[in-house]
Amino acid sequence: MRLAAVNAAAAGEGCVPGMSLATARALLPALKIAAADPQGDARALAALADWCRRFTPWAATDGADGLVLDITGCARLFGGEDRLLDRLLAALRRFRIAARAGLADTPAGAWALARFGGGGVGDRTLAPPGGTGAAVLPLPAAALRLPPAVVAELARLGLARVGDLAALPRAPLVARFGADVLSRLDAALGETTEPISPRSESRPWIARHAWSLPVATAGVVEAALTRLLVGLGAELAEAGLGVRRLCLRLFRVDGGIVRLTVGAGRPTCDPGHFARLFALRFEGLDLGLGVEAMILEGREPAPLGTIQRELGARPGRAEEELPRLLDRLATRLGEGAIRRFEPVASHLPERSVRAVPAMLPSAVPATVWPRVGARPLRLFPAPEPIEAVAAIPDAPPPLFRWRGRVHRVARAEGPERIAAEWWRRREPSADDFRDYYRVEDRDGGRFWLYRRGPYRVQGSASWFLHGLFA
Amino acid sequence: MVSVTRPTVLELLRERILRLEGLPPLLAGREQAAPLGVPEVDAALPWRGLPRGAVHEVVALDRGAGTGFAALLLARLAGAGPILWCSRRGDLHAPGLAAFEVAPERVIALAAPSPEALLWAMEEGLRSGALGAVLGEVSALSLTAARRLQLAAAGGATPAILLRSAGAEAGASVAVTRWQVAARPSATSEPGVGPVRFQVTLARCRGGAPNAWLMEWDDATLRCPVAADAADRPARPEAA
Repeated sequence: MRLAAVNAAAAGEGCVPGMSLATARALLPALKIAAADPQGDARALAALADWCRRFTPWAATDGADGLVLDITGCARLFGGEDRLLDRLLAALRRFRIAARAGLADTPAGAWALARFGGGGVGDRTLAPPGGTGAAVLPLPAAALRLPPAVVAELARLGLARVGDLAALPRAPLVARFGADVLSRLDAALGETTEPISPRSESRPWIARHAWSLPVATAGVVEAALTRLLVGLGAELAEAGLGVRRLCLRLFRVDGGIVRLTVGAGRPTCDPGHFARLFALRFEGLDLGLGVEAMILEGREPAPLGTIQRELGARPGRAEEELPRLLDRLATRLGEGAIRRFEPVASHLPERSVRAVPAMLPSAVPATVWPRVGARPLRLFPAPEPIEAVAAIPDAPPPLFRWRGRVHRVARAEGPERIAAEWWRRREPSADDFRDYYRVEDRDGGRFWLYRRGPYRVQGSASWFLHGLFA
Repeated sequence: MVSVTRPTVLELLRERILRLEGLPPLLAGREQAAPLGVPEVDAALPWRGLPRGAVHEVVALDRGAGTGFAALLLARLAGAGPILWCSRRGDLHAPGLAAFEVAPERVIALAAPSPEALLWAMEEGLRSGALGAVLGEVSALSLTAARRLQLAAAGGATPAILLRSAGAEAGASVAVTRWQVAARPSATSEPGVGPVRFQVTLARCRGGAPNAWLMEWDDATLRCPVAADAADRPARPEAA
């Protein structure tokens, strides 16, 4: 086993990468080791490159241990190159990442300065604008990012520094070492440009269409949209992806932009489904004097879920059709209008159910509804005050008036005492409870009444009707 | 050789008329009909139950009782499929549904902003064929809208229940059955409220005759209590 990398403390004791573990242990018995994980490192580096996008849109990974950022035009947003580096390096220190920065006019120059510049002083080496050549020339030849064999060959010939190479005539250099040395030298000194390819964000899923003349007929727009949907759907299907949201922007000739968004409960790439959803939104659409162009953009791409069917079961229409139906309903009525019920662990009747969007998969697959006392079929969002007087404690009123009608109680069950959730109250009170009664009047109407707080002889207790039983 | 007798001709004609109207035919509808589980009622229905791809109407003379009876019909019609419950107010209480054989997690509750949106949602749900049943709490309903619902129910082979309040005009309708439901006092010798009782009137039934029953639901079975029991009598037997 060999060392793949060492930290500064281990390096100070003489450990170097490539050394066998036994030798390193002999040098430093207290050495702590961890298995190298090149793939994990690469993933972490890629994530760090994405994170660096806060400084510049042009950020990319560089080799196994480097990041390259093109901060052209970005430095002034952070108060100068030095301040940008301050923030970048401070953040990396917070992540407990030991980093060195080099800043130069060329990527190759910055690479050389970050790894070989400064002679180990500080955590950064800056070449002033136009000074990259001067800063790179004194560095060792290895700073040109040449293969180790070439560096050893150059050293054997006494060409230890970049400046030694730059001083030589170019033709013999190419003849002896190949074109690579020269191209690396030119890249470092800024003789040639070396573009960097930023890590691309996830691919945008965009389709567009422009008309040569403004179009004011919804049918024409819809036909073009269908073509865009088919094209985008095919691209998505090829990538094995679906989208949960499609945004359509229609650019009107008067400068207005009409935005339409449709959503799907689960990712899909089916153009027909999205076409139906858009058709629901096209009703009453104001195209003004006409539309010149439109852009269709897919958002929230996600892998297409595979539909599992029972072995031997014929392809069911229902399980595929239900999400589509919910999408159509949600597109027309809004996602908040279609709900499923989920139980909540609360004794208060009005808090015992939660309505969750039906588009989302149920959080509780096999829902278990707690078995509590009889609960009404209709529960009023706001309990309605009733006129009632109970003659004796712990008994329902013999008659009550609700919505202007007098009901004579023939049968009753209760009380079921439900205390307020004191942990929600700022000032909990022992009297903060409700005594519920299920009563039946002489006509058979069944109601859920409650008295708020304890019984009072004076008849000032407040009674409410909270729900209706079947 | 069996000679064609008059009842067969009549039956065939009835079948033809029903098919023309987009209603479930009697003979084929019998296999798909959902029995109520109450022998007296099922025997009175031409389909020996409730046909599935059709609109049924429940007029709630008592709001609670009507909701309960509609839930019982839903449980029988919907099979294992999800139920779309379209309403304009949000006072449906899910834990209460469980006592009427409708598992609350099967219910998709839709809050419609307008009567038109409610009818559109019902139609869309019926046509999709993805649901076990669709219930709509509707007030006014034009003949055209009712007809559209009936066609959607037949097209998607999905039953629809219109839950209407007592005040709604009970005029023209294309519903296959119309039930009027009123609450009746429960009868039990135990203290407290007994099993739920409804006075159910089959006010209209295509190909059948109007009828009325007293029904009782005791959290497990729906039945018609015996006549003696049904008679108005003191809530508790008088001690001798």
